[in-house]
Amino acid sequence: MAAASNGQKLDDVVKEAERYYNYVRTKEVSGTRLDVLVVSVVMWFSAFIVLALISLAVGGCLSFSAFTSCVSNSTPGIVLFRYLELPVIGSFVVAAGAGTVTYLVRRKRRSELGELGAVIGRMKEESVTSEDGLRLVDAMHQASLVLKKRRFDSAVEYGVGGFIIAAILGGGVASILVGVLAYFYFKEKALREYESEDRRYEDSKKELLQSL
Amino acid sequence: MERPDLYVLARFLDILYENGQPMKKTNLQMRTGLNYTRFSEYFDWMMSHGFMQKSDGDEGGLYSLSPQGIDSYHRLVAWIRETMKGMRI
Repeated sequence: MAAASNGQKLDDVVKEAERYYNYVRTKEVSGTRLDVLVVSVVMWFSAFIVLALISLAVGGCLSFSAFTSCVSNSTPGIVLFRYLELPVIGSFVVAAGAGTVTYLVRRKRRSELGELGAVIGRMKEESVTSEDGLRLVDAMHQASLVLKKRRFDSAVEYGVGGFIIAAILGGGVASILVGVLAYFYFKEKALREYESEDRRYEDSKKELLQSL
Repeated sequence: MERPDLYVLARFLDILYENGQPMKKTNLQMRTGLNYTRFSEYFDWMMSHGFMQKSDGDEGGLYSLSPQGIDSYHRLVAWIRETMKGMRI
């Protein structure tokens, strides 16, 4: 067993690492569920608007006056249902597809956490050396970067949120600009934090090597 | 050697620290699991930087951690603990 200068063993760091791993994994899973939900809902609404407009355009009922003449011999509700039935179904298909793609992308990223789990598993069975401790710290650092990468996804959500809020407040076309600016701002912020964290860790390792 | 691999250095320090007693060079090489060329590079680096010291044995030179090497080992372990503390939830 590797021993620290104060006589304690490095075995306790494995327990800490395991707690950290469970925390990161839980956070990643709940974050994935939230992202899938948000992406699905946003894509449903976006697809519905586009498909509904296309459906109405194909039916020649796109403008208000054209729509008025479309419903003149029938109940508006029935006409709307006829034109919007397929867009609703299509929106669900698009939302399901987008949600599935989001889930698969996030699951692939979660596999990067597997290295930390594997290292912890190995170290629980064997005695812990300082080389093992180094591998553990490296794997934990990679796991923390996985969490930081999640913030890139959050930038998309902020962008969409900014667009929706601006649109509700009557921003019109400017809503798109608001959404785009919000996305780039939060993405840039997330990227700076990610790079800063990675650089801090690598610098710390270089300092350790120089100090030995 | 421009920049040694921290993992390999840690392995050398682990083996020498855990063994406690001075070791033969061949035994040290077997325990590190490195090929001769790489082992020699790291061995020479460790000797030239004062991490190891040689003592005379019945069958040739024996090698152990120097006080500087022991101190480096402790600093490595302390760094691992401190870094993990910084990553705690």
